[in-house]
Amino acid sequence: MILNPLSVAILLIGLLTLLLAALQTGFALKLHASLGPSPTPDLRTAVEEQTHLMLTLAVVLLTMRMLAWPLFYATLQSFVPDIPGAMCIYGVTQALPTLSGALQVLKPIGFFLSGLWLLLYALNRAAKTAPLFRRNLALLAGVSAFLAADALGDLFYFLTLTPRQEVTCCTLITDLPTRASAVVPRTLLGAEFDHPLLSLYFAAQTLLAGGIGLALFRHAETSPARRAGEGALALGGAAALGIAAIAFIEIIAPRLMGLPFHHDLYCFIQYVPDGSLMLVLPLLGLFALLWAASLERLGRHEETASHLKRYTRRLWGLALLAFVASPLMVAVHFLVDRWLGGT
Amino acid sequence: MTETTAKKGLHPHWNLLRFAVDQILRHRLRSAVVAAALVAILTPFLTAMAISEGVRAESALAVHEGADFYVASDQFGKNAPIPLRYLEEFARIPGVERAVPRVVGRAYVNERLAVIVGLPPASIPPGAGSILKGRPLRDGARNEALIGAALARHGGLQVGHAFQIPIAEGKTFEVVGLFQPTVSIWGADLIYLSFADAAEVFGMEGQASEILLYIKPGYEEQVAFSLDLLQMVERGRIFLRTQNKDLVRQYLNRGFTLKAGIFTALYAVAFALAIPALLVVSGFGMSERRREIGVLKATGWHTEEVLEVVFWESLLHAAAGAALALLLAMAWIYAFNGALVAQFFIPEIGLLAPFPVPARFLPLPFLLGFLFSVALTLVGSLYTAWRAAAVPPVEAMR
Amino acid sequence: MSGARYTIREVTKTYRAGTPHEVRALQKVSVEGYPGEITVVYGPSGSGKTTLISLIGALDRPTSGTIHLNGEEMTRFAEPALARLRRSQIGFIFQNFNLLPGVPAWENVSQPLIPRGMGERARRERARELLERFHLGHRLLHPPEELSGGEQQRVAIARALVGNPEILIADEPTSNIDEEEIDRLLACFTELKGKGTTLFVSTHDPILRDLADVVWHLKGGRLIEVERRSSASLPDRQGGPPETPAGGAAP
Ligand SMILES: Nc1ncnc2c1ncn2[C@@H]1O[C@H](COP(=O)(O)OP(=O)(O)OP(=O)(O)O)[C@@H](O)[C@H]1O
Ligand SMILES: [Mg+2]
Repeated sequence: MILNPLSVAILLIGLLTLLLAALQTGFALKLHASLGPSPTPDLRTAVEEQTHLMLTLAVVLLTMRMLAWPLFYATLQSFVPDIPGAMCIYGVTQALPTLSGALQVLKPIGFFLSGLWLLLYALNRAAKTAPLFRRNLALLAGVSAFLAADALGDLFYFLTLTPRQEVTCCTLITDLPTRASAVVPRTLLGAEFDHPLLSLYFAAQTLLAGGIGLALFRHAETSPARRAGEGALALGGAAALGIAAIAFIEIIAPRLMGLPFHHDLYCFIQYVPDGSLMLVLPLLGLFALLWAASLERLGRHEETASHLKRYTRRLWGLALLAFVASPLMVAVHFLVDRWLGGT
Repeated sequence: MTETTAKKGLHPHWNLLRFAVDQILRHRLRSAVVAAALVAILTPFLTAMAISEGVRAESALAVHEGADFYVASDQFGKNAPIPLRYLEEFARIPGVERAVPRVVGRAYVNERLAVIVGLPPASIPPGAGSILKGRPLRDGARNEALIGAALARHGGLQVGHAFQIPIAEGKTFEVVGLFQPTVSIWGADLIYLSFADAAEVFGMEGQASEILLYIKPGYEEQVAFSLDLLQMVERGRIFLRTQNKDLVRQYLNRGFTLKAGIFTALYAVAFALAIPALLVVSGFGMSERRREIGVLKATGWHTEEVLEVVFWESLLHAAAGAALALLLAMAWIYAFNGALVAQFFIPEIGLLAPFPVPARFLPLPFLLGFLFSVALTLVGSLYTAWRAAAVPPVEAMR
Repeated sequence: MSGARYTIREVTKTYRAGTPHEVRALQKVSVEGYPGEITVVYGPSGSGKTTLISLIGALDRPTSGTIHLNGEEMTRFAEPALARLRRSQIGFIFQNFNLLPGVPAWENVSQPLIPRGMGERARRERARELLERFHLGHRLLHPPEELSGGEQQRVAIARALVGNPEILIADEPTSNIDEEEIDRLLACFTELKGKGTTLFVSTHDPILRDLADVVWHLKGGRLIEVERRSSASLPDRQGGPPETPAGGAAP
């Protein structure tokens, strides 16, 4: 392992999460088993008391995972001088590429799942007789197990990463003309895809924002129609995120970094202070759309109908905000750059 | 039926935060105990991080003022003395401004371990700091010594005094000046001698510990290349061992992050051990709050709202603890010179450093300390928070 | 049944069920409570009065049996829903007042409004208004330790009323105060009834029975008699809006 204050911090957090999440999983499973379909009032009171322990645990877990997410990248960055050949986070991730790749995917999924659980919890709480209680426990067991796996991955990764692994850095892979991110736009938009792709990016984000706005404005009353709308928006969100990802790698990041031939998002979040926010926002937007769609399926019950509608609207609002904010930030950066370049 | 589902915004949370502040003020003893526990845990950590950063900054300064290349010879992977005949060869390399021989060694002087550095007097670097008393070494003069102020104080030496170095029998040196080093930790126990004297003391006539090369800006690569060429020509006779400024800086940096890392690791263990302690401390006085919380629940508070208050309290405790710990760490360093912590980062200084321990308070270690204390209070008070919040409202009846 | 505020069916409450120290505090109680009436729960000490009214006040759940509130089965409610009931519809005056120690009277009164997000100034205003109504305008900043028993009780009443509850429940309100205070209390209850509030008052003090529209006689955890004292007859009320005042017939 590479020992420095950040790596110790992330290991400590990983260890704590692992312990608490394992505890939580067992706990949720036990309660789920003990709570039959029609519990006695006394059992119910006892179980309800326990639920709050789980809520507390879940909030602490979520907080720690949210700390671990940026800390993960900060720690990788602190390893740059220790790994020969690494010049930015990308180089460090190349030391154990599969594991680091998996961990970077697990973290947002963990966030998504925790968020979904919290939403289902809130929905259940808003209903009068807590009809989603057992479903909620089952989901909690799954989410906790997932978080435990993520924490275990962190522990394993940071304990096995040694300073002596030679790596090649980002410029040697991300900046080749044959790089993967350039293939798709080149085949679709031709060799000079810069301007079309940028236009496509802004068009896609605007279109999606418009779609969400329309859904908010003309909210479908019937459940099947709403579910169809939610599914369509979630798909649209995924597409918009994909386009945003390619546009960021190919055009936006190089331009904002001022390195026209450097297509690396790790460098982007290092060089542009609000870069990570620009990247996280559309992801959050997609999550909000997915949350709405999942909640509609997981949380359906006669008691929750009116609340579901309210939740969906709020999540759509959040998604709208996120999908509008990110391109807006990009546009402001472009304008400021042009203005500074002009003077 | 009026369900309270109306939009409420952030107001409830703000109210709950205010209520948490009231609670903290109302249960002063409890809050003081929790904050004290956090301070006790955090203060040494922040002190250590500040010293580590300070030492790192000073060594960076030393490196900055130092030579661009350090060339020694290599024997079985270790630095070994380099014959002085290379001095002229190096000086001829295009781009080299100066080549200066240096002898470095350690010896006891008046029963204190001192670092003895021999340089041609004209090359004693400005980094040696300001001459407090006396004068600098004179060119060509022998048996003169310039002594670090701290060493002079502890060894009882003054300008005009004479002293001997046990390993160099028969030689007597005169203290001609005292200096105050700019880089306190490196310069405190330093003695400057003329190059010839130092070579004699350590039995290194005709050799130097290393040759320092000062390079004209922009010539680094060319000089490195020339040194490689020279190495090829001299193959078999000597292996040159060259370190450049960046390498030295990197070694230093890595050394310090490693040390800080080890310290943080030790601390992480202490933190982990502190969790049960904090659990006990944060449970302190909770039982008397049971009834009060029962009353809150009976008057319509949700468990989540009570939990939120307890969490706000933990967070405020953590913030107060971290801030207080920062102040105490500053006091520890500036009033007690980092006693007990400094020796971890600066070797051989004993309990109390004879010079002001360098320290820098940077935001990152503080943030890390705050995060640690938040994690600590959250985990430590988790069970207590739940016990407190999950009080059934009928409890108010008892 | 549609006109009843509370419909209590076969309610049993057993403390420490399944242990040798089992206490059957309530046994198969079935009764109805009507909107706008004062119901007095009357019985000797240990007869289960506090237990019954804490079930009515959504502070606890029965071991078996059902309670419907406004036609909804509140015994099926989860804890958050019960908390919402306590918050929005029910005010409770405890036997021993249960004020927060060391907290000024006005904060004690306005404390239930904190999680509702009401700003501090509005809360203070609301508390002052209520405390002045109970002649405690000069004691806003005094903590309960510095108040007399009667004053504490008035603070507790103000707190119970702070959320404009439709249902007010008082547990033995006369046990700690003198006769003058009792008279004031009765006047207050009558006034509330006049505004449409439904009241439940537990007592072993016969004086309070004169106040009642209905008296539920409890003994050993059983409901032994429901005594209707008000002149208004039941069928008139059926189907009426819950807020209909019960004629304001003061005793
Ligand atoms: N938490 C409890 N655990 C065990 N037994 C209880 C509990 N609470 C009440 N009891 C018992 O239940 C019975 C009814 O109690 P309750 O408090 O309802 O009586 P009460 O009519 O209010 O009496 P009082 O007039 O003295 O207040 C009593 O015998 C009491 O001892
Ligand atoms: Mg009682």
